Formats: sequence, structure tokens, C-alpha cells
Amino acid sequence: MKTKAGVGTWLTRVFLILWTILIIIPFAMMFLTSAKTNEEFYAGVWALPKNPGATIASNFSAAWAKGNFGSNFLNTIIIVGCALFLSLLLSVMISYAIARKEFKGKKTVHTLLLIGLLTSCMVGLTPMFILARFLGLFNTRFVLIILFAARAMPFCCFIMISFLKSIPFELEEAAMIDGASNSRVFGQIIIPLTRPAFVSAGIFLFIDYWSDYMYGLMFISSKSKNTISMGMLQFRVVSGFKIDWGITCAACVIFIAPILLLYVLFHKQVMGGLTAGSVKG
Amino acid sequence: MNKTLTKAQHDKRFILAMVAIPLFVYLIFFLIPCFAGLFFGFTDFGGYSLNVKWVGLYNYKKIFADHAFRKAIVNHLKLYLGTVVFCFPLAFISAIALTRNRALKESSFYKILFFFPSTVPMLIIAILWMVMYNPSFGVFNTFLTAIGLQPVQWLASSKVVMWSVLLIVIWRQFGFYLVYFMAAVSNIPQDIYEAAYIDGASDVQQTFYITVPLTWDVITTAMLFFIESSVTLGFNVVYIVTRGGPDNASEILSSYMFSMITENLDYGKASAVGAIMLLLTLGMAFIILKVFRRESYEY
Repeated sequence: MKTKAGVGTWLTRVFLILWTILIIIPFAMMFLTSAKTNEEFYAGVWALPKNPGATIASNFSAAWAKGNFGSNFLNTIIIVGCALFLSLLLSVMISYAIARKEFKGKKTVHTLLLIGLLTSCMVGLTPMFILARFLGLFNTRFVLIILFAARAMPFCCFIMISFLKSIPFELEEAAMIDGASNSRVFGQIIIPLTRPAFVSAGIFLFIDYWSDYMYGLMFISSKSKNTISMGMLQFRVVSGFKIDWGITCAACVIFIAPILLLYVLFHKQVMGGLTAGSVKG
Repeated sequence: MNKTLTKAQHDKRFILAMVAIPLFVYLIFFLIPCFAGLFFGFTDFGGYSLNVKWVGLYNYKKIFADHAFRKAIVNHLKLYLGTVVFCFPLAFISAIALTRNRALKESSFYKILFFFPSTVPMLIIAILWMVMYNPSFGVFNTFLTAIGLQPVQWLASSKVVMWSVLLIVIWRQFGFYLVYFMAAVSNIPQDIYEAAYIDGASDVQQTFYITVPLTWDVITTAMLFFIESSVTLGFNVVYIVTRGGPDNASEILSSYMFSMITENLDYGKASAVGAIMLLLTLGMAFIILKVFRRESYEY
């Protein structure tokens, strides 16, 4: 392990600093532009805002109205909350059975989950659409919840199975000998112990659900049930139309704020959650 | 519940419930629809009437005759391979530098900053990169003209557009794979390197004979997972930034399929594209598992 800075270190550093700049530029521009009017933006992308206070207020209120953020926020909270709960619950159930119990067809079930890891939900959009219409679930919040939950299960199980395998068996056995039922062992011993895996998977799912607009586009048709990311689609840049960059960037800031906050507070857990599975075990 | 059930029967029922309920939801709302595309690709489903007709290979013939579809397959593979070839080695080398080079004291700063884009919704990244790529006021062209070079049509030139798409994907994923590989590299015990150092192995030799073999599992796993993420990431970039244009030059399979649904309401053809995408994905996964997976080293 090197401790002194040599030529190699400086070369690496140059690359890393260049990449840092490349990462910062778009976000810096986003925050800067959200405080500028459209005229100011076209006058100079990097010029400082002339009257930030008033422009910020007008940009953000215009963005809030255009993206219908009020009702979309509420929808997103309901959908993301329920989907998170459902997905984690279903995943921990099946993961527990796979990791710690013996049953017939265990290998098949595990393989089915692994196939799901490699399958993009996009290939199933048409059949899912047919299914939603057939079940009369089209244009309901419930269909988004259950589809989100099902889609996330392979990844959640992937994290949870390896985690559950690492918990010592003695804990369960001791509780069983004391006369605890299966469901009590599961609810009062296993679930509390699995908390780190819940956090990792939960963060991943939150970011995934928050950003998703594809399911929304496919399965929701009325505006009152839109999620926040579908509201964001209002700001998609369409060539031929004049774009108000100040308002667009203000909408981006609103949309990104919860994730930015989550990242600033819990970046360690976020990194752990998203890259779970990279560590041997 | 029946009180005469024995303990073993209780256990059996419990496990059955624990497996059956989640499995049912998973199969009905995810896995079966994904594979059902293989069936609907042979029908003329139009999105409204559930009364579908079997049309045989018609949809497949039609899409293979479409030059945009053929372009989409090539671009799909380009996007995957481009990221694996450019992003993975870059991230891996940086991961080694940031974990093993103590002289880089600010390494956790880079880690936290570089990872951030992979948490940001693609919708925002796409909008921001449209500003970066803008031919008149975009950052890249401003820079190029400032140093006296010709401005580039990042999104309007059919030769450049796929590279622009690739750059967005790499920009977003670099930090993700950096952190992913850093976790793997820092897991290798220090004494292996020390032994190699005493035997006179150089940094490069240590990388190729210790770090790469011992993290090969993680690298191939990343390649495997990126098959799936490239579909979604690529879709987001293409759907928002380029809309497949110019002249289908940046069309990828997922965007091609989605426009088939939203613009043509041709669910049959969309399913056929979906089926091709699924087969391609599984084929790629198979190749990676068969060709790239070696026996893993225990340490």
C-alpha cells in the first residue's frame, strides 16, 4: 500500500478532479438556473442571477403549479409507501423460507427469483397492461403498488437471502424450545434482526419508485392519480417548443430534493443499499 | 386452526404460506407477464379488445423488415458493450487507486460525489444533459469554441448521437461501479499484497495477479446485472433526450418497443420486440456465465 504521492497518484488525481468537474457542472447549472428568469438564462448560462429572491419564488411556484406537485406528491407518498411495505414484507417471507427452511421445490423458487434479476420489466409491459385491464385494475393506484412490489422482489430477496443466511440458527432454535410458534419466531426474532437488510433494500426501492414514470405512463390515465415523476414529464424538453429553463430547473430541484436530502443524511447506507451484493458472502 | 395437527404439519403449512403468497404475487405481476410477451408476439392485440387473433410470425417478419428495428438491436448491444468496455475498466482502476493508494487522502470525497448521480432520477439527468449538449449554449460547445475547435452536433448528428447517449450512461454509472468495485477490492486481505510485495511484484503485477482474479466474481456479477440496467437506463436517455432520433440513429430496443405501444398502439409488435429483448438478455447472461465465469478463489 502506497503512502507517498508519486507520478501515478497525480495522474489519478487529475482524472478524478476532471470527473469531479463533470459531475458538478450539470447540478450547479440546475441550481443556478432555478434562480434565473429565462431571459437571464439565454443571456448567459453561467451568469449569476440578477434578482434571485423574487425569481426563485416565481419559478418555484410556477413549477409547482405546472407539475401539479401538490396532488402528485400525495399520490407518490401513498404509492411508494404501500409498495415499499408490501415488497419488503413479501420478500422477507420468501427469503426466510429459502434461507432457513427446507421445502420441496426450493431450488426452483430460488431460480425463478434469480431469473427475475436479469429480466427487465420493460419486456413485460404489454402482458402487464392486458392483465391490468383484465382484472379491472387499470388506472388504479393499487395496480402500481402491486406491480412495483412484484418487480422489486428479486433484488430484495437477493439482499435478504444472503443476510438471513448469516444469522445464527441458535436464536431460532432457542425460541422454538421455549415454545414460540413459527409466526412468533418470524415476527419477533427474524424481522427485527433483518433490519439492516430492510434499510438497504428500502433505500434502493425508494429511489427506484420515486424515479419511475414508465409504469405510471402505462397504467395510469387520469391526471388526479399521477405520480410525481409523471408530473415531471410535463417539463420534458420537446423540440420546437420554447422552454422556460428557469421553471424547468426549479421543477428539477423540487423533484430531486427528497433524494438529495436522503443522500446527504445517509450516503453510507444509500451506497450500501444500491451496491448490496458486491461483497462476497 | 385444527388442534390435532402435529408440529410437523404446522411447520409445513407455515412454510407453504411463507412461500406461496409472495411467489404468487411475483409470478402473476412480474415474471409471467415478462415471459408472456413470447406468446403475445404471435397475436394482433391492439390494446383494447381482449379478443386477440393468432397471426403467426407476422409481427416478427414485420419488425425484422424495419430498418429502425435492426438499428435498435445494434445500438442496444453498443450501449451495453460501450459501458462494459469504457466504464468498467475506468471504475475498476479508480477503485484500486482509491482503496490502495493512501496518498489520495480525499478518496471518500470522490466516492460520495461520484456516486450521487446514480441516485438521481434519470428524468432529471436527461433534462440536465440536454442543456449540456445544446448546440448553441451547451457547456461542451461553449468549451470547444473557446479553445478554437468546431462545435459538435451532439444530438443532431447521426454519427455522434449514440456516443452522446453512451456518455450520459457512463456519467451516471461510473460512481456506482466505483463504489461497487471498491467494496470488493477492500475486501482482499492486506497480507496477500504484502507477500507479493516482498516477492518483488510490481503494482501492475499485483493488480493483474491478485486484485483482478480475486474480484473477478464481482466483475462478472456487475456485467450480469448491467444487462438489465442497460435496458432501463438506455430507455430513459433515449426516450427523453433523443427520442430515437435523428433518423432512428439512437433507437434502442426498449425505446423502439415503447414508441410502438404509445404511438402505434401496436401491442402485438411491441410484444414481439419485447420477446426479442428477453431472448437477447438471457442469451447475454448465458454467455457471461459460460465464458467469463471462472472458478472463484477462496481467501
